[in-house]
Amino acid sequence: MIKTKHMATLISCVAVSVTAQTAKSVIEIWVWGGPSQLETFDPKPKAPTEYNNNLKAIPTNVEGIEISEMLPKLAQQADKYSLIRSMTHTHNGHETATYLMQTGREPGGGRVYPAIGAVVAMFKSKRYQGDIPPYVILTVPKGRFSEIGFLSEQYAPLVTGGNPTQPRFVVDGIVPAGDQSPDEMKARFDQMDALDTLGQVASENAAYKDFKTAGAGARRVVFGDAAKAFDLNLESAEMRDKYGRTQVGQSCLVARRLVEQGVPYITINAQGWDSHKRHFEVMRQRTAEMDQAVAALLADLSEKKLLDTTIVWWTGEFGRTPRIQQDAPWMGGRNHFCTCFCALVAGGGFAGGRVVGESDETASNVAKRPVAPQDLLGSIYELCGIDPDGKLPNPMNVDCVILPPESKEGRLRELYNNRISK
Amino acid sequence: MRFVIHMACCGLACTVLARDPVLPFEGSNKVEVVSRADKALQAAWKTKGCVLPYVASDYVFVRRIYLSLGGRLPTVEEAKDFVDDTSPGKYKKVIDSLLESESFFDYWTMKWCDALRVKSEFPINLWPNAVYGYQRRIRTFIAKNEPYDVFVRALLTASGSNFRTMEVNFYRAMAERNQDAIARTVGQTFMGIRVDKLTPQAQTNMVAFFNGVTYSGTQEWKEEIVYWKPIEAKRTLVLPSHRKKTADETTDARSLFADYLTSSSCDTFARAAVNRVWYWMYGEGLYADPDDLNSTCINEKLVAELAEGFVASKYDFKALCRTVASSILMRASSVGGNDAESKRAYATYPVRRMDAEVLEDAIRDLSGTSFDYSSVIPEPFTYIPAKNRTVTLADGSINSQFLILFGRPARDTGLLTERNNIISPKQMLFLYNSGDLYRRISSISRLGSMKKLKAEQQVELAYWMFFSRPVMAAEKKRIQEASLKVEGKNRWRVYQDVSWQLMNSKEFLYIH
Repeated sequence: MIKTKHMATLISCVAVSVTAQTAKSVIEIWVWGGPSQLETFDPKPKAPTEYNNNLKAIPTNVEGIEISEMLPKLAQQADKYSLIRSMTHTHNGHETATYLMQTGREPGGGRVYPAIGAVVAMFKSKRYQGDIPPYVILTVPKGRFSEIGFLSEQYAPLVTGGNPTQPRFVVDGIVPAGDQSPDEMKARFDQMDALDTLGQVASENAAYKDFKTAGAGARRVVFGDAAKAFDLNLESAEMRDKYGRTQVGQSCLVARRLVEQGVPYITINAQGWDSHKRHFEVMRQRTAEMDQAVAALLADLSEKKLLDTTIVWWTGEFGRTPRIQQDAPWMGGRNHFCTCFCALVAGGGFAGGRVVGESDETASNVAKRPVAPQDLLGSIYELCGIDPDGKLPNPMNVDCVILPPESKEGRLRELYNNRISK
Repeated sequence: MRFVIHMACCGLACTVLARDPVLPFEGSNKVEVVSRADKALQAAWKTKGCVLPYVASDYVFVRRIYLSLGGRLPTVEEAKDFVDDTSPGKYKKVIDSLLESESFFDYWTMKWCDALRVKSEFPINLWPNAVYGYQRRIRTFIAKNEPYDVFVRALLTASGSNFRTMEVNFYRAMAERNQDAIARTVGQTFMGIRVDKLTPQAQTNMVAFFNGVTYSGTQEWKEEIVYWKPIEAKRTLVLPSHRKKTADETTDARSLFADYLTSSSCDTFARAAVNRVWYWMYGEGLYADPDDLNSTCINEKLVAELAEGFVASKYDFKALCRTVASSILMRASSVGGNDAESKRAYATYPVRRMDAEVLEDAIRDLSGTSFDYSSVIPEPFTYIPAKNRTVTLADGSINSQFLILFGRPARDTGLLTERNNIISPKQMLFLYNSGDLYRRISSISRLGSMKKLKAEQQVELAYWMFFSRPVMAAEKKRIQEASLKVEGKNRWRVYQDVSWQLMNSKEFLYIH
């Protein structure tokens, strides 16, 4: 309880320098395992074959921007997003790199910082009054790096579990696991209340008030409109087809539905990108699914006038080694590569149709304007109206700034739609 | 039936609203003040205008004492045996026998592992091997009832390999490894004080005792040596009591600090232990901020009484647990009546939600299901057999969405308040609706003890399993009525739902 109290006072004294409308929601498409920059947003058609495997670049709907031929649908949406081709850090392990990309903090040191989802959930919780928890992950957790660090449990993600491509997307805790009808559900809750013998004699106990509040909140989710946000049967078949009937596609569709409910932070944990072996076979499938899903998401958000208030960002913990490993056991694989990789940002105040930074001719090194993890995260925070140099509440009550200072090149101000002054 | 009476208590006449005990949660008597600690409690209640509460019923008490000392529900047999026992000494007997049980050793080891921050990585970084060795060392302290001062001295003065001299892991289980951090951790862990809030001079004085503590890797994978590196020159050190100590180049000043800590001139050593045990037993501390003995003491007389007893017992930790568990608070009803006036009038037992690990174990005991924990990071991989109970998990960083959801402490700080037992909507969603719990609840009706019973008998057994009490007539009637409303072939579902309803009740989720 003490914790919650000082949390509240601290949040209220964090200064936020916002002059205009800020992003309301964030959709993070986490490309787990590390997506190859060459087969996505930084193709190198002119590089030797041992780098590009003869894959081509294709033009987009923005003059001068080309992306991989693996992403034809996203090529038609380039006016809606901007690319960063100069992401860089120094950790080639999944765990440490994920921690860095999620928190903006170097691993190690005396503290475990919260991931961006938990931080946004915390700051946005002041305004967000929805019944769905403020941070949702579709559909599997990222392990401990989607976590809250030293923040309080209420900002931990709701991890949906289940499979949105199935006829019934069973979201753990929200969509009942059994096959009860709504009437049966109501009857069993009524019976539960009637059998609450202890509650009938001790209803005024303060501890039980927490129980009542928590139960009421949960019931609103179960019986109210919240659960409908996860019900894809309420979408037309045509819309579902547009996103692709894949895990990532249908997850993107759920994410859009959650944005409509005002949920501040949604992560789509897209798995299967750690392509050490048979990289190109794997990529062909993954990029096709991803291309369709993200292109549909951007188009849909834009049509529904939600893109201006919703940030979409796409990246992984690192990229992949530009030079293809042809020998056994890799047989055409790419390894982890943190020196130079790419990211996509769209909406919520990020301008579209631009490219930040540049890699060298083989995508092996940053050639222009390196972007550090804290610069990318800091930009998202700023557009959300959160001061990245503000403080986080913590149990030891010591000074914990959200992010380390921005790098020399700084946050992505060149992409801001002039809404923030700082 | 309520009426105002005048009752004499401790020579003072006070007016109190009388009410009948509430069944099945209260016994027919008021709690009986026995020990000096009880008197201190009673005096504090009186100043708040509260009188002695009814005793909790035996049903409530047996469940409460098993959960508090053993971290588990009593079995149906254990509960019934206790309730049926008519000897007046049965309360003492159950406490004594729990204190000698493996359940107590496991559960209170877990608590100490919270305080000593036992986890394999981030920001504490013990690595798995040391985690398991250190946890076993802590368990030995509990199981053998090693005197608390001896145990603490062993930790404070340890030197050697993290694989062989388990006590050195005390120095490794810190987010930062330097003498300032060591002093802060020692102050917080054993004195209940925030060293960073002391005067700069006092901080400098304390830090000096840990000068020379050194960490060094070896050729063995993840082995580390902690040792004291002799410091040239003679030096003068100042204890928190302002006494000066001279140390020469061969003196490891850590032992001087351990001498001070366990001597009569350091009163916070015993008080910190008392406060911690009270917090672990009742979910609330004896200080306004349970992690800071410099904050307002809630009951000075009680703390002094318990601390004196602890010192006089030569730091007998189990005896301290026995004293705290035997207080009138453990016997007191938590109900207090449901009208505002009697709420004010009666002191009550503090209710709180079960610990995450205890809840998981309770669900596994009730449903006959288990969960096998594993972690592929950090290496070496950890795999915990399904038969191992959750409270015996050594590693605070082992992956478990359930334990995170229900507020397992991160073991980053060792603070008492790091564990979060406040119930949240997300927890309720999990309990109401999750696939995991649905499967586990469904298996209750398939238990060997359940299968052969008729539906009504299943309900009777379920009430004993979940609540350690018989089903009340009104409850039974309600369930029967509900079942009659349902068509024959679906009637079983009403009875299966009883398990779900009991699982989601506060009477189950709370220690009350």
